[in-house]
Amino acid sequence: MQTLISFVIESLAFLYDLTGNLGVAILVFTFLVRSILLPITIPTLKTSQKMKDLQPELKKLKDIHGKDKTALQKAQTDLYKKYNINPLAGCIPQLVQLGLLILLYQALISFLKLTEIHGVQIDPQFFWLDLTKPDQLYIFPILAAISQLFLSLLIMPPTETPDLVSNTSKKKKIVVENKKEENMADMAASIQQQMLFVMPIMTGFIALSFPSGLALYWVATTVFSIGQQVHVSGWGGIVLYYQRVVNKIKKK
Amino acid sequence: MYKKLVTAIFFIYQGLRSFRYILLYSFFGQVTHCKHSESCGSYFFRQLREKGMVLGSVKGILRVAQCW
Repeated sequence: MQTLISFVIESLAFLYDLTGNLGVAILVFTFLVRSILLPITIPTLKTSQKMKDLQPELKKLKDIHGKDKTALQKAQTDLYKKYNINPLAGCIPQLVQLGLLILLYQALISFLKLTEIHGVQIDPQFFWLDLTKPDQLYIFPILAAISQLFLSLLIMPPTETPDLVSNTSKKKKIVVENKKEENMADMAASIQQQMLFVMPIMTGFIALSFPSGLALYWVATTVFSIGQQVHVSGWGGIVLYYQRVVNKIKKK
Repeated sequence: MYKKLVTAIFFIYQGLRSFRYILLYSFFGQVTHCKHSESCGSYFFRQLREKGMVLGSVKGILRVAQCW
């Protein structure tokens, strides 16, 4: 872990030596990291798009196989094979991503604490900002929040219907528990929907307390994600939200 | 009481799902999803509910460890 953090810090130091500007070094670093990840992310995004298109068929399979989880899993695998989809999926890759996120955070924070690189004093100035301190003008936190909101609307995460209590039993106690579960599921879906809007606000506040170099990285990487998403699957959720707003205005 | 607590934690976990999702999406441009039709999260909590803390945790961890 420490070796990887040192590697990231050394890469950033090299880019600072090369560009002579801390902000530009962070931007180039963001661009390089995301470009290296492109051969993995683009096929995965395309697969996700294909899987989204297959949702009606997947729902049909769920209706056919009901609670028979094994049959459902087999039918889904067959469907993926039929459409030549190989979902790079799993909880382990997601845990790896979370680990990388913590690593990047630690490396950037450590890098921004450095006062000199290879004996040369670092100039933390980037436009109006001292990148080692929080942005007092709120510009980067606001940009981070706006870009996050834009990305959230663009991707609109699907809501998963949880099912902890068996639906097959007709026993009164189970039926009551099922009803409770449905209510809680609705609540979870509503929390998830609200998180779409709460998350950008939280992002703004978090970015406000971080050194603005980190906020700059956050904005740059989110903008890269937006570009990548639009390139692969178009304007997605943004169009739906736009239409919803237009319809509401028309009704009034 | 234990079952209620597990269910409550599960729904908080579900609600915070989009937080994790959007954060990872911003930083990596993609998020890998659980490959099982009953996600590992749901499975983990169901096992905790039905089999108790110890056996439920073991079964849940085994499932997550195979999900890649």
